[in-house]
Amino acid sequence: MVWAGKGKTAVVGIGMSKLVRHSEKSLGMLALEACKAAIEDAGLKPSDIDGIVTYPDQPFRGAGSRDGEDLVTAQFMMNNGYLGPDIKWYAQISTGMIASAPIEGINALISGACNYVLFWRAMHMPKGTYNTYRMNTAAGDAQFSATYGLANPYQIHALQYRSYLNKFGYDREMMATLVMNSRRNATLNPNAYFYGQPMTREDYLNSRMIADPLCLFDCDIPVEGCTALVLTRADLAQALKNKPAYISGFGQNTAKQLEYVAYMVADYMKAGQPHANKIWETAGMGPKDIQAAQLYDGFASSTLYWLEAAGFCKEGEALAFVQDGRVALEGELPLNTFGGSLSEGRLHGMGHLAEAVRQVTDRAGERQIAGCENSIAIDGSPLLRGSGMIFSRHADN
Amino acid sequence: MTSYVPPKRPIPVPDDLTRGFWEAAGRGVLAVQHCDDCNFYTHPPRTLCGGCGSPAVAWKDVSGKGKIYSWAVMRMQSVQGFEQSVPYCTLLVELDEQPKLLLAGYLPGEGEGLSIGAPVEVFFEDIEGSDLKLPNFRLVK
Repeated sequence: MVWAGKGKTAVVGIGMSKLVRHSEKSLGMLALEACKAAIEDAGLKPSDIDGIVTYPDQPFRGAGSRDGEDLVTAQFMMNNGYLGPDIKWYAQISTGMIASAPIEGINALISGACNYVLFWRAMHMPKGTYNTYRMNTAAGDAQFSATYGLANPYQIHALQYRSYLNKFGYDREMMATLVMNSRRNATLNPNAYFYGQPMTREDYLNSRMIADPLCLFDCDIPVEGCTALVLTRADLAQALKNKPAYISGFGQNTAKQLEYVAYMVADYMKAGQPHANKIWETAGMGPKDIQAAQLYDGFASSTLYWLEAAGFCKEGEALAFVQDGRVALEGELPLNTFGGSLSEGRLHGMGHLAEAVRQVTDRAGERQIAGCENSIAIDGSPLLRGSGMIFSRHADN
Repeated sequence: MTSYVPPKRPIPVPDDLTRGFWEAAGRGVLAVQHCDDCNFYTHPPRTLCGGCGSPAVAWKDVSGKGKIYSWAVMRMQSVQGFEQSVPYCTLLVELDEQPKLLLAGYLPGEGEGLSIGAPVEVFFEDIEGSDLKLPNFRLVK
């Protein structure tokens, strides 16, 4: 059934800090910059903001949790920001993934809890090698993984990816097309980490293996930075300067999930289809209604699973589907039009949301899909967790 | 002056939920948590069966035989103590007892002779700095 809240809320402002490997500024300063830019972009004053929501996750397991340094909580924004004293509603989300935060914001707006919601995602990137399990002991589920030299998400994704390649008879070299497409889109995105740095097929094929079959360029580029959005009700959006990006539908992954290593047990179609279907059903839409898809690519293989689980192609077809220019800006399904996490930078799905907003409001510059009516953004992996939304040019799309 | 001592691999810390696994390994047997109500095997262990939610779970000896579900060749260090082992293969083994009953393992090398579906069997390794034995898997020749 189509969601009663369809078209009743919209994103009206976007702000970003620079995305860099390591910033001279603290993460809190970057978040303050991005949020201020988003509020200004919306044509609002900081004192207009009366709702705030974020997803303050650590960049990796075992990272620090100092507020304003390693992550940026709602409390940090209230303590250190320029916001007024009249915050009426706030939340910090740890369920689903990044889009779960604006989903809560939408519901707060519709319920009347507040009028202007500031939403951000700040991502810290510690210096040095950080992807190593450095404990002398293995407790909890680590008894059954770290003891075997298995501790990192890229290993789990590599295992799943080999299983996919084997099941459907693909060569990993075919992934070059998808990764190069994202890089090409990033060369048209001045905010992207890899702006101005094109990639050739040889670059991809020569990149070092991380956990074979995953190579370096199959993994997103870790960055430090923040992107922020301002949301409001559709009626209030009419008075503001930007075209609103109306929110048509949303969904969160609620499949039965098993922890960590065992989440491979979940079938990505079985886990991902119900999630994607919630987004389609709330919006009253299907894959044919989408002119630009922003599908999570923390690892390039996750995008394949989403293409299939969301019904853009059939099970097992995704790696063939992305060939022949089909997902290029000029193709039938422009994909990760901003460069994705692979080439814009790892903001855990925040970049995907911001790009979907840009595409339906003609703000995507040289990579704009002409007349883009609807853009979907899904984060996470169907095998793990996730959330997603559809943004639309018109409230009644 | 002290010389550099390479870090050891992480030592498992058995708890109430996992002790049965390590006790079985100590006598050279692979055991997996099993549900008396629905016969489902749950790994890693939980207080409630992953199949039906029943608390009637207990350790059960299994054959230790299975197939390679997938593997990845590790080119980077992921866990301390494995520095000298790179490259090595991370394995997921699907035990014969149940579809997608997956246990981790590792093998030295770059995947020579490995293929998805290849039969494997359990064996038990010493753990440096511990009296526990680690169940691991090798190809059946």
